[in-house]
Amino acid sequence: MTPSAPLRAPPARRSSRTATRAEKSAVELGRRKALLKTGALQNAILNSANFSSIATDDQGVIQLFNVGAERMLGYSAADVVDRITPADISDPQEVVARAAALSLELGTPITPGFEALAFKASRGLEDIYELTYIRKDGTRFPAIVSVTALRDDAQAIIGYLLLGTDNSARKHAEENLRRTEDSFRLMVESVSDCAIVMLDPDGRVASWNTGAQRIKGFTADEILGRHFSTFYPEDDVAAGKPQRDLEQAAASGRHEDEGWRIRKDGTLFWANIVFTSIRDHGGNLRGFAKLTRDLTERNKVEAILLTAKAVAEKANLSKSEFLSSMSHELRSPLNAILGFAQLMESDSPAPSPAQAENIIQILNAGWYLLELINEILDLATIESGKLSMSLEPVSLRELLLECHSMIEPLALRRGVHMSLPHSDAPYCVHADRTRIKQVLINLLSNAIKYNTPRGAVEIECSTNRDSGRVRITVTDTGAGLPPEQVAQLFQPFNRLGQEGNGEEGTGIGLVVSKRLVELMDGVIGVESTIGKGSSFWVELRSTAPLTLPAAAETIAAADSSAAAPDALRTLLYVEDNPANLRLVEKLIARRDDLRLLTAVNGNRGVELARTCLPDVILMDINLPGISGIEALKLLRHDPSTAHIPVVALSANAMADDIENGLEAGFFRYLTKPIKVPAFMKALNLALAFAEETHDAAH
Amino acid sequence: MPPTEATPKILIVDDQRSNVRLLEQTLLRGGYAGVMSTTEPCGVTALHLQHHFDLILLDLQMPEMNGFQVMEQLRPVRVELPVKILVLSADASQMPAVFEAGADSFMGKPFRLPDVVERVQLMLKGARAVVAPAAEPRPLLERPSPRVQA
Repeated sequence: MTPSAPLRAPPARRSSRTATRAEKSAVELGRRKALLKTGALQNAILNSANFSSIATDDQGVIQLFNVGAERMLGYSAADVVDRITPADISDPQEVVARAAALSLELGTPITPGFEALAFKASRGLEDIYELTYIRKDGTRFPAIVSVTALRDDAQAIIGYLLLGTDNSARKHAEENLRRTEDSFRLMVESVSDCAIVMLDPDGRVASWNTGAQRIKGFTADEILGRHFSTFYPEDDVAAGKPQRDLEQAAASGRHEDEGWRIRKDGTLFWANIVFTSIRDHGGNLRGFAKLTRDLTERNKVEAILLTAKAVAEKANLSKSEFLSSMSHELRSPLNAILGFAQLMESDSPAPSPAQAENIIQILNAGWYLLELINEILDLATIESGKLSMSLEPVSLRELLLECHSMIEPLALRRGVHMSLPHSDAPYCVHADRTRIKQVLINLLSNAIKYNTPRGAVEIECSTNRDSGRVRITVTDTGAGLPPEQVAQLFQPFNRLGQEGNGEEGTGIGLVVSKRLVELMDGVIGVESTIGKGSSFWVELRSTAPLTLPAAAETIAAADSSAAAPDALRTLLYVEDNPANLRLVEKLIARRDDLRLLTAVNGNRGVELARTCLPDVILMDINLPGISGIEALKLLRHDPSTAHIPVVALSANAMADDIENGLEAGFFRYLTKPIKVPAFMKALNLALAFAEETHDAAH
Repeated sequence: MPPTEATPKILIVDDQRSNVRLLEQTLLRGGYAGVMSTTEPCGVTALHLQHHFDLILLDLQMPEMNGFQVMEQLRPVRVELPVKILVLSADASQMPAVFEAGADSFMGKPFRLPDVVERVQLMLKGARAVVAPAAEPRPLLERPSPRVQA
């Protein structure tokens, strides 16, 4: 027997009866054809591998067992035909249960067994039910079975046909869906941090989770079916807000709101609510998902943080103000201490040697205290953000020479040998000249003070290959620092056990240096070896040195030709950066109508202006000592210099700087780097202005 | 360099006695005999009208009347009775305002006594506004730590 064989083991009785019927109606060709056709259809159904077709006799004994049944149940037709009933391959418990259920339903006792499967069909009722078939190997699968009674022409039941499909896939899918739904529902229900609520299209609560209960206080039983406007304060409800929220969500799909909502106990909470409209595939509104978070705590925390921040900022500001005013307050009594000690020192008759020694101690302590106060003031100024930086190209070679000559006396007194970089490589950094000088002087004086007698201090410049920055290293041959001290080195008031070695120093210098370097977008650091010494380094952005554009001198020369040769006029340039001085010198050198005077700080500039009365003054803003703006005020204040046009030339190129400069009374405000045509134009305007005022005066 | 012929008249104005005393002695040792002083800024204009000073050494922070107010009061008087004003203050940030208010020179506190004498000399010689030497690098004096010496 092969699976492909049609109608195997046809039930003999049925077969013979069909034949009889066929013979009877043989005369009618159309009916025969229909029958033949029906037979073909039956064959197709019976041969389907996806349906189990089991036909029994009226007692339920299997007479036909098709390919589908064989495949599903694992029995061959020979195993079952004429041997068992379908009840024998069904879950016995289900059969018993079905018998009981049917007995109850139909009010007549039904025996567990095949009767339970076929009873309804035997009464002419349509019967489709789910049951579990048991395979030959003992495994089980769910099936949906349709049972039909087979009747002869006299309507007597001659058997039953059980058409079954394997329901595993559907069962499985259902199970999966149920599980997904379960876990999803559990997830939503168990979320306690936020309220997840479903609303029907009218806004009535359709589902309620733990979070909703926690936040709003209602249990599911209390709230399901009630309108969600229950959660709004009265005023909002009166103003129609709940409905508006729903309408907006329905219109745009999503609507977010933040505001006060009300709990069951009447208390208010600040909530963030997100409505999402839910639509079916046809686009019909099915309801809303409403997600509510209680932000009351967050708001409180935010408020606390804001207050704390304001307090901290105020404290920081008042700290700076306090330090600043304290510095000034301390100077006054210190003035008396230092003043009278100085008087005593120069008294006549002169103090005794012992008295003189004591006076020196007072003076030393006093000047040290003054240095401390100044450094605290420096730090306070930096930390209050009031320190302005004027960043421009600074040539290290000149800068280091200046630092060297300033610090040399100290090195000589200590017998410390100092060496400058050997190479003449023109390192140029982007820095504030005055401030980087302050930093280097600080590093150098430390290197000398904390050195060994007859020690050495070496200054080196190099380019950091990784960052492309220029590194200035100051190496000493001092005692070196252990790592734990290195870590604290840039903290205020950390003199790190140096207290005992009799060296001065406030410990603030390095802190100030670090802040200054950072304001110049640089980095400061140290490497140290105990017993060998320390290397402090500063890294700054490298920049191209100041150079004149090729055409600059031609432009400069062209301007002079217009001037009469006898009208030699004087230009005073106040600038501390030699690179800038040289640049302007070169520009002016080609103008035979101009002579150039230079001053390296504001005081010298003002003095020079008073003695030489130049026609025009060029003034840097960021000068050591008094600033360019202060110098301008001095010049304006003095009738002899008040009329001289002063042109600002500054690296401070912010709009505010320029505005402040012009407000202070500068004739023009030029920014570095110098743009030669603009520079010449401003210079010519200033010269013309000077001439006019000069003519007007005489 | 002590003045010889006409002894310049100098007024010291400071509410603190110690400062007045310090400046008095400093100027005396510098050779200036015509030194007067007051701890009451309110009376400065009256004193000037009476004594015709050549130079006033003026403190800034004073109760009742600060240095700016003193200069304001002196402003009209100085047209007829010119007088140089040297302001001494612990607060260097006031310097621009001080000049704006009409001072001729400014010195920070604490000061070195020789510097005061030198400044007074310069001002009396007729030098116009003079400013403290640039506060560029701080003096890097070699001095032992007071904490160690204590």
